[in-house]
Amino acid sequence: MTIDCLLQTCSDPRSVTPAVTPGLQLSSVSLHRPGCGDSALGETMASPNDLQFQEFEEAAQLLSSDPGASTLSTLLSPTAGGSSEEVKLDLSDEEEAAQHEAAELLGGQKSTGGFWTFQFYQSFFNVDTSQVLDRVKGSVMPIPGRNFIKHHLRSNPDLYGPFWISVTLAVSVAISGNLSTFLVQMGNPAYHYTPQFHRVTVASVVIFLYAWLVPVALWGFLSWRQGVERQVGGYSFLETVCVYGYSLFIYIPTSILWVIPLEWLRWTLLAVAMVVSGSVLVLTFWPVVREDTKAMALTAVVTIVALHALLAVGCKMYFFQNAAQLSPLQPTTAPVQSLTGSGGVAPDEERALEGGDSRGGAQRGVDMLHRPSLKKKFPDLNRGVGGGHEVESDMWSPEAAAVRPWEQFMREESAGERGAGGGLCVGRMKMDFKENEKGQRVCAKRS
Amino acid sequence: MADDANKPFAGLADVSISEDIAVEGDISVPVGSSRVDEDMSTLDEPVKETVLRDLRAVGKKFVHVLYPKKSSALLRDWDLWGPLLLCVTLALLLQGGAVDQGEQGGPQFAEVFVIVWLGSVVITLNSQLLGGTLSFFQSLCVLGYCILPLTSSLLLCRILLLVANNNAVTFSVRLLVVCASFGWSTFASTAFLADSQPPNRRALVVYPVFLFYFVIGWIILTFSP
Repeated sequence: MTIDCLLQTCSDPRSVTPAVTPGLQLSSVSLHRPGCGDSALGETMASPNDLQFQEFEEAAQLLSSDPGASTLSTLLSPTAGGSSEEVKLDLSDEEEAAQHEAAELLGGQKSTGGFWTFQFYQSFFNVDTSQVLDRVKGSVMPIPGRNFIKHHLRSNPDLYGPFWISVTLAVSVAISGNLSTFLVQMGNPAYHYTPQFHRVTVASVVIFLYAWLVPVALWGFLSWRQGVERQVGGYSFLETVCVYGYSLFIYIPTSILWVIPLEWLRWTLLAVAMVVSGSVLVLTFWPVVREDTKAMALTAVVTIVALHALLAVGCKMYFFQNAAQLSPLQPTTAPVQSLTGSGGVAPDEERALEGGDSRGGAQRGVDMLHRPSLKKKFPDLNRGVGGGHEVESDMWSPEAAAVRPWEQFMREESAGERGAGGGLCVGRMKMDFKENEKGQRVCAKRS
Repeated sequence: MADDANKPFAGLADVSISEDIAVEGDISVPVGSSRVDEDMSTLDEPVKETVLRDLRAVGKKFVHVLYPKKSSALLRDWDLWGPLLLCVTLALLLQGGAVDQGEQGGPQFAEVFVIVWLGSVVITLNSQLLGGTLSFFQSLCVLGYCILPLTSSLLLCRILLLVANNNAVTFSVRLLVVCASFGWSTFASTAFLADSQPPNRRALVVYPVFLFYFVIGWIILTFSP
């Protein structure tokens, strides 16, 4: 078969494209492109089926009578001897001129035009609804011995499945994660529901990176291991992407079922999904990798499974947290006053602040400033300051120093001591109390 | 010669014109064409007239979306004013979400725009790659106009949340309204788009549209001021 001939952009509107039914042997299909000279024709003569040549004579007659049409010849069976039917279709040039032959015969070599033409990309979407559904079913039910690529793709990998399955998975993971967080926190009065849209972005980035970069890496690795002879048992780039895309399908119903907040159920579903999709991948890639050295083969298979597991577990941990992991949002029973003399700090905030012990008091004070819950919880913080009138700006006045909680923190840190100048010694700024020459305690930079 | 009868002008096969009859005629452009041009010139009309004409066209298409029949008005005279108006309305109505939550609140104005327009472009490209016959802008026009039911459901939800508290009853009412409008949107866009696809790929084209309106419906449902 002259591959160069097939890859030429023969813009001849009278190109004849035979459609190949699956199951036909490659040797019995003949191909004739009028613009490519006699070399292709000479090779078709080698086919044992002489009636095929006669059939193209009829096709040529039809074309000469009506040059605007292209004929589509369907070869039902090579041995039945001429039991072929011809379907005459009015095909426009752009639509299906050359994609059939390239797609069916050269597994993966689908470039019918340059990559800047629309037809080039259209050849990747050459699937019907039934084909997509069949491929999805094949990815959900892996049968040992059935290679997904050989059995389901059959030299017609598409990009529709991987792309839309990735999008659906990103949407379903984000929405289900949001729902599960809501369900876990339902009895919590302190919890305010947020749709968390940034999670959709994170989910989509992660899933798209996995579905497109890992196949690139795997295909590169396999091609390198096989050297030049890529056609023998190797998979094209599109087929690798296709397998990975379809193998992600099982995670869509899994993520919807993950909304149920039972931990053991989630792990069980995760295990089942990983087994199913992992086995699809392994069954596909094992025959290729098997011919390599043992070490390389095992490494490749283990890496495939490990990355797949990492994606699943990562999604679960990030999006579907259970009650224990969401505990910092515990409700406060009442505004706590003078807990360890700190003037009304909510327990969770205090815990969070205590956790940052290494930070200085000023940092803690600054954190306190930005707690919106403070204003809500202690609206009467200014009562009793300046005669009981409520002025928000009084928080900064010296009279309000007694109740300003951040200053109380700083005071706590410096054990209630103040320097002679009345300033506060803040440990974060590397200052400390020192005796100056007059014997007074003043704040000075640590030596 | 069985195909002689199929050829056009088959009955005139025996007609011949003798050589001495002069064939003469007159080729001229009809005089009334310049008058037609003056009628079409819209330069001198008042601005109100121009604006109202576009608004009337948009309104007519809204009516077509609300009662989706197999009409070609949406496809023949496509315009993108309607989708723009609907997108801006949607984005404006989705403002005012929980303000103090920072980035965890509702979508920003630009995010709504990006979702709607990028989603429409991706779906249009998808349907073209699968062999559809609609042009790029016709598809954008249809998808944009069919957001109308979802926008009106958002309006209803906001009014409901203004009037009543956000409890289980209002939530179920909102859920019902959003589901109904989502179904209406999908049905309307399918009625316009499905005819242009090859019959064995219709589901492949309808599914992304379903996903698109589902995401928008989800955004509307989870919006709480």
